[in-house]
Amino acid sequence: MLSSVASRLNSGIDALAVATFTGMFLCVIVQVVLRYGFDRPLVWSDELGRYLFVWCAFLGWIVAARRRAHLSITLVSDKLGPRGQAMFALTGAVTTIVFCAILAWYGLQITWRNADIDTVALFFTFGVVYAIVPVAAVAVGLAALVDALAALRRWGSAEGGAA
Amino acid sequence: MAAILAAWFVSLFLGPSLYALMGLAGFAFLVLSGIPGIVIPQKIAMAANSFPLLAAPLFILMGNVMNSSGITYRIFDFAKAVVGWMRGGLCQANILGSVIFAGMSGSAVADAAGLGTVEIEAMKRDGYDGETAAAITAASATIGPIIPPSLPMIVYGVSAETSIGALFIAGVIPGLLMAVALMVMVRSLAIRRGFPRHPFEGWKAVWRAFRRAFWALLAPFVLLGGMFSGVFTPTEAAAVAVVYALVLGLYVYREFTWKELPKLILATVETTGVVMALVMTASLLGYCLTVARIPQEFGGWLTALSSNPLVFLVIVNVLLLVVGCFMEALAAMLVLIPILVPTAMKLGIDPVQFGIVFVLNLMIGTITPPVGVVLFVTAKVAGVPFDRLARATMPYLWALIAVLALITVWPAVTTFLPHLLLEK
Repeated sequence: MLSSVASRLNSGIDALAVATFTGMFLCVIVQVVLRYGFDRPLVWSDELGRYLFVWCAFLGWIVAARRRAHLSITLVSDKLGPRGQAMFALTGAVTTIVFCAILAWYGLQITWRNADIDTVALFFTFGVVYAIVPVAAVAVGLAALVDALAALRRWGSAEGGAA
Repeated sequence: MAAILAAWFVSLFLGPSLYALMGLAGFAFLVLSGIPGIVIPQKIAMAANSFPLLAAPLFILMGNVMNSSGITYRIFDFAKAVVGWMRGGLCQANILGSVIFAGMSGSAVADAAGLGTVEIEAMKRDGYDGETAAAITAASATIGPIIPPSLPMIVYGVSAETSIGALFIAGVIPGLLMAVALMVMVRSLAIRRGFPRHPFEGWKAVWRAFRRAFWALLAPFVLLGGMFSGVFTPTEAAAVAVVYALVLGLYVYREFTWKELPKLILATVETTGVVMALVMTASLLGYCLTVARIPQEFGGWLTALSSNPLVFLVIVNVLLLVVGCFMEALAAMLVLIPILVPTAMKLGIDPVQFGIVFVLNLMIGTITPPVGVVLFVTAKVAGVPFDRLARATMPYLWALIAVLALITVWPAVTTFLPHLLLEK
């Protein structure tokens, strides 16, 4: 039940990420076509492209977190046994969770504060741009929580194996 | 701030995600200096609010599309027909292939993983052992981000406020020099170790391979031509290049279909997420460094040592090479730019030259142990142990360091083309 909700959320995020990226790409293309093809530059394509990029970056952050693609230095932990590796994985996940908690908290505040500040040439407010920050922070934090629990389990089983 | 940086550096090795550590270091600094934490999401989110930086995901997509459209095979076959007759011919073809691929891809990892897979396979079939094949693949992959387009240069240009177009042009000559240096090194190794060679297949074969690869070979010219003629900004050129690559893959070579596009885009978004997580948190950390006046202090300390620009460049080279061994290139770049660039400007070093020196240093760092992203990828692709690959790559390292030394002492190598083409 829980895992089916999670997988549905994940595919939702994936779809949103692909849509955002495509939108961003189209913004640049439309800009090129209208400026050079028709000599009628747009006022909004540059700005919308940038905001979509902000969203895209955070959505990519989530996707990369779920696939454990974010960069870290595994130099030391590679040399350890299963228990040590589980410990390192746990501290790593906790670090991410702490950072995400901070980012989510201040992200909510900045979204709130920008809720009525207008963007330059678009129909939505700056709050919409910032709204992705707390969302991504929570999602990445949850992914890290899953990692932390898995690391705890591994640690437990490694202990049992050693005894 | 210095204490935070020290703690941060130690905890890097404990293995958490680099971005989370950079973010936490920034947070710790803000708390200690009484700056409201709302700066955190602001700096992080607004780092992505940049039209020039938008070129980065587009170039990543272009690389992904190129890699899945069978272009890599065509490029390597063409390179093989051109230089395959030399001793150690496939090593030479490997280098030439990387130079061509560099003109359409901006990341050394993409080069190593995409073209590298094709190259290593072909070299093993030809009787090379895994280490030799992987070593030259890793070494030549570093040309990718020096010859435009280039992800590290986009990031450098945005965070050091230097013209990305000028950086791109400036990379052409050093990139070609890297290829020459590697080819000379291959030649001497090939004679000593008796690498295999093949007879020249004749001009007809070269022509055939050229025709098969023609549209792929044209890609760099579409991309760079638009950009350097001043018609497109790098971001727009990237978008146009993506369209070109899509047309090539979907309709000309027909190696993939529309259905596979979402998967390609999602992979691109993932890579974008990895890169941007670093860029965004590093921008927060960069802000903290500036508030703490670290660049001024460090610069004052360095200039007290010597105010000779060349001495400064040498110090920077040594520093970056050492840091490059232990840190991921992009993260190192983002943290060090706010510290080093102001002093370089004060000493009158050309910002474009400094950028190329900076990027080349960190690219060399990607093929040095213990932390070398490109080495990791090629070791995995070739199925050879990391440490043995690192040892096999050593001779090429010297070739690349020779190029680095040359562009350090001789600014014209990097500044000549941009001055010529951009008249600045």
